[in-house]
Amino acid sequence: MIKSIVIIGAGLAGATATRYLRAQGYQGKIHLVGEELHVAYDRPSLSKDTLAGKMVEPPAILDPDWYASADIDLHLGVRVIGIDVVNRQVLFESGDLLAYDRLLLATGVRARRMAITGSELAGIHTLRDRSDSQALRQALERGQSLVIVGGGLIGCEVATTAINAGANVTILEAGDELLLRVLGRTTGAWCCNELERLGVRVELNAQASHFEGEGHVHAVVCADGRRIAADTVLVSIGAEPADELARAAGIACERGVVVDATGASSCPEVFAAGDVAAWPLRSGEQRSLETYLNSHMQAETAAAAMLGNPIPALQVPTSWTEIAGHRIQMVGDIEGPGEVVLRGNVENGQPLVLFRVLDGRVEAATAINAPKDFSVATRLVADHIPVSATKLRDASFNLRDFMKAKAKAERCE
Amino acid sequence: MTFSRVCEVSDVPVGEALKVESKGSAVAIYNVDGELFATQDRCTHGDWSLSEGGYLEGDVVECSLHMGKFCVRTGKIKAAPPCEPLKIFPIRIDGSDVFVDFDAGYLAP
Repeated sequence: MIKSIVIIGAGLAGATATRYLRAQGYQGKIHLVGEELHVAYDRPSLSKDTLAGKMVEPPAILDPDWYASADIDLHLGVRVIGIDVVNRQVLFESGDLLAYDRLLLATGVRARRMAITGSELAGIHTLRDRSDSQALRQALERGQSLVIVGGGLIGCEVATTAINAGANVTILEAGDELLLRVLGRTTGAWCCNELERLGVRVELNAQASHFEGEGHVHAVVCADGRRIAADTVLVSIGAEPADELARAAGIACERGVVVDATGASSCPEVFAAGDVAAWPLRSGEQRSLETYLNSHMQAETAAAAMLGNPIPALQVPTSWTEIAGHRIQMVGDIEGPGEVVLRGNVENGQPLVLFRVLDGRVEAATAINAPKDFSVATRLVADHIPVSATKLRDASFNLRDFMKAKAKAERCE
Repeated sequence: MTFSRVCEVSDVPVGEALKVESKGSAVAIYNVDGELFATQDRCTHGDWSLSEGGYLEGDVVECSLHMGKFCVRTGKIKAAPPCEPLKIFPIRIDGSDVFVDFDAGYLAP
């Protein structure tokens, strides 16, 4: 009999699991524990509308009144410092103990920091939570210089917001193209060009070697001697799963808490979901995905498993971004084996979709300002529907009609 | 009640959706097996157009941004993450013309 569920991490995954447990009719205790003082909010907006000041606060994931109405025990602004898996209890910094029958780790990730000279200077930011976003927003005044170290999703999203706010923006990317890991070379190069058109300066193959300044940062110096003046620096070089509680408790971790496709860890009563979970993918890999949609799905899956209803859910990474005024949606890993098929015109024509096709099936897709095609692409990928590269390339071949015809054929079978 | 003409019936084929606008308010018109329905076009969860970025299957539209689902007849949530239902709008067909009352959007009881 499960009478008490403790969830460490009150972000998207924690809140989603909480809502799902109640929706499934679970009536026992739910303790939701978070280090921040706020209930779950929309993190993607921290680099976009919230940073731009279009919203005072990021939108809440669940109505803040819901927690009380659903009899959730909220423990906010507190830190868990240990898990006792033998006696099934968590230990708070205050010395308090909380017993659990099932424990969900939803502690997310932390921004990776640089261990180089000058990293302690004022004016050097990372971006993970709402206070980070507020601090960065105050620095984004017109005419100020922002140097972004790391040209991944967060770096490019912030570059877009900052240039629109009137700042002088430079991106330093250690690799030879922006956004390689998430969007691949073709889209990365296209985004680079679009950001430059907005006035963002992009320095590729630029390895930051140290920060200069007295008290406050005033320049970033690269290994090859390039020196870029900065009033503010954002370090956006990726994130590390916050899995130290699990490690200390002897639970298997490998860049995140290792779980099976139901969210179960190596310890029978302990589960993990969201960015902290190294979750199995359909492609055969296993890793933390750091996406909103996968966190949501993992949280529901793990919540179901905690209630004794394991439904394995291999993940296909699915996310979106907004860069240089364009909305880009991604499903699967666009870099990988097979052939990349372009639909639309990469030079000027919009919309544009890239498909990675292997053995006549779409493994991954990236859609630039093409949400209609993307909603079909997610189905092509998820259901492994056979479709020829020639057809995908042909913009006159209507993907939506193709899916409708297929659905109709299945109904008639 | 002020109905505005927004499009022709033939502008919204079966299984499709169309965005129509009036005075800054956007409404999505859906054709479910020949029957037309209207909801607010913007997803209640993220800033996303349901007619342009959604996927209509039967009478359920899925937002491609966060995969939330809504019933287009009632505006009610069919799948998380959204917490708020869509407003629905009165719609009227007169011959081949489609009319929507942009001022009368409401949440289904």
